[in-house]
Amino acid sequence: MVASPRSGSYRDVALLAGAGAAWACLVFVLFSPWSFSGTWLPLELPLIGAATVWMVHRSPRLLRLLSSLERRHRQVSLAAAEAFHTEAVHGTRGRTGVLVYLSGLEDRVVIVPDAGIEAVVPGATWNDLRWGDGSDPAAPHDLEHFLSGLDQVGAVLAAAVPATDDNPDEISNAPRLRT
Amino acid sequence: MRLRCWLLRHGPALLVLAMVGLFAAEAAARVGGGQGYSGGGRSSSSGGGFSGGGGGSDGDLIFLLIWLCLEHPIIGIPLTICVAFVAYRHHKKGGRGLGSRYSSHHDNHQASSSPRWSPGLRAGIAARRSAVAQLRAVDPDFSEVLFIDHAQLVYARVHQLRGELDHPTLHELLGPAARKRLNAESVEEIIFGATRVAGAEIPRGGGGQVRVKVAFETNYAVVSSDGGKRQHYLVRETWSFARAQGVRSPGPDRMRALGCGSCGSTLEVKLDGTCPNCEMPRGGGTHQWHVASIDKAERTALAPPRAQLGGGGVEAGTRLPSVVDPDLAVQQRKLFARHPEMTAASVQARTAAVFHKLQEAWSNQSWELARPYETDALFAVHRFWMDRYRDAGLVNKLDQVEVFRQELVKVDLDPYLESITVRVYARMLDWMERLDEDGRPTGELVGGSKTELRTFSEYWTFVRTIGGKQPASSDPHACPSCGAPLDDVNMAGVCGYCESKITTGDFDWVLSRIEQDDAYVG
Repeated sequence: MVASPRSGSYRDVALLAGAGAAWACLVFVLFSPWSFSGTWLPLELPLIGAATVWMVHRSPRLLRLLSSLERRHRQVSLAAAEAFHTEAVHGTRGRTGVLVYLSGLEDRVVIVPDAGIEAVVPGATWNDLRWGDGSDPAAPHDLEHFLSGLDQVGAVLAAAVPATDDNPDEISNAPRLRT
Repeated sequence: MRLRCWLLRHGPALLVLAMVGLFAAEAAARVGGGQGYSGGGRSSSSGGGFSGGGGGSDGDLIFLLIWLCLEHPIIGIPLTICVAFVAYRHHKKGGRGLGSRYSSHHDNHQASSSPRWSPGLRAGIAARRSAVAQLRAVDPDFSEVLFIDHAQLVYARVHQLRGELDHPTLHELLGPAARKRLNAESVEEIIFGATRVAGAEIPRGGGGQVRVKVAFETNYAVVSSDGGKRQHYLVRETWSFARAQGVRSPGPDRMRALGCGSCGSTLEVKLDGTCPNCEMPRGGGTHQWHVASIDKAERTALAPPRAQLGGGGVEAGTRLPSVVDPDLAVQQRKLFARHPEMTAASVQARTAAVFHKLQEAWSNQSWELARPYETDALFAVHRFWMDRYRDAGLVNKLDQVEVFRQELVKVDLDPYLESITVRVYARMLDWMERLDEDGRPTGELVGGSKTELRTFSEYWTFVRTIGGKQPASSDPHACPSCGAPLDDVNMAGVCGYCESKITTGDFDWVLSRIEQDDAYVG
């Protein structure tokens, strides 16, 4: 299991927000009924832009607000696929590894099964798991729901690939927390 | 200096410059290629001159943008950013043509320049792929194969009930607009030629109903009111299926049966439109797909099959480049990783074995030989055509059947099923004989050739249920459930030894579709 605070830097979103803020300030200066001195403007505008970039980049709530749902889902899928390889989940004898990837900013859980599991568990089964009680079943709002989701994963795997005598833990079950 | 004063002083000049920049393309088109364009009058074939003008306009526009950036950056820079963005989007759109997504193993250039790659075909492929992708985005459990199976069930049921337009099941399956398009007729023997997703509409905002356009090519017989005369038709229809957004597709059991979308009960709907089991209202697309409208309906009376002498040679579509899925290499590796027992050779061996068995069944009119290898829908199609030949006093004989090449073109995995499509190249003697009164071949040649081999290719698609049972035997001619010989499989596809239905793909790969090389669209 891998837990990550976010699945992408979203730097482009923050930069666009900064550029937008600077542009809005410029428009305000140009068209507002008040008069402004233009002396410090070349310095002020980049500062406003940079401050906005910094603020947006640090704030998950603002990033969620400024990015589309589709984009966030895509980021999580890509990051989960990357984690699948960096954590070598494919390195099991029967190709029966399963990665449970949790992303904080996007509030989403993605399951990436290896080929051996894909052959015996239909993809729809993973889609049916509920990680939260909201409208999006893949969005765990609290630890309790997340743990309940993990129990469901265990039940699915126990039914599809029951334990045998020769059943070493090839991948640690301890969660990996990324910072 | 106050910015506003500066802007007010230079504003009019900048506005004029910006407008010159924005309209430069049009002005230059007249200068650089304008003669060709206007001289061509209404003819679009004067595009060569027009294209030259386009180049000139691009150059002038770039020059103007550079000048604006240097002299009046406050206008030039945002304008340049906008133009660059538009140009990038345009380039990106052009670069994603289907020629780059679909390619042939033989020759990419040939594939893109082949007559087969007509704009209509490209548009059809693009529409289908885009529709499936959109549907998966709102319904991760959407399976194209199962949806097509369900659409065919609905189609067949609706036509079977057309004799009684007030039947409650018709109210459940069809919306008011679709019901209005139906005429009261007695329809029988519905056979599906091609059924494919032709488009999808997803309303924005998460509400409303998702619509899927499905194109059907079918055959059916209309029985006259006195029951004496039957007329077969070739039918082309486009139906719009709709379902509430947010509803997820159920699994194979519910998609392959007509029943309550809420509880799955297959009991007939009550007169008040509710389910007799769960009392929930059925129809209207609340839980399951229903037909919102019938957008196109054409039919042509079908003449009895005719035979023509001389049948050797190479069929026209055989030389067409293969339609290879762009993800084939990746999906093929995944397939062999999921099923380590499978290899390219084993796929080819199974395909060839099934191919030979089906040709044998066809030639000997022993269609029960083919039953274990085909899904119910495909079996119905083949039996229909064999009966049609027999009714016309003909039999299609095949001999010296040889598969000389196979090409894996597509491997797919959806939330419930996996499928593989193989292009099979074969040659055989193919002729038509007349039957005597007892239905035995007379040897009289009425079509084809007994001496000249006919060469052709077809796309064969096999499906298998994910999470199904492991086949008991790898022998394609043994029951995948119990390993017994396939000599006792009834018309429903149930093995007489183990009583298991073996034609659903729950045990092993079954043939689901055969498409001609000039009709296959991936």
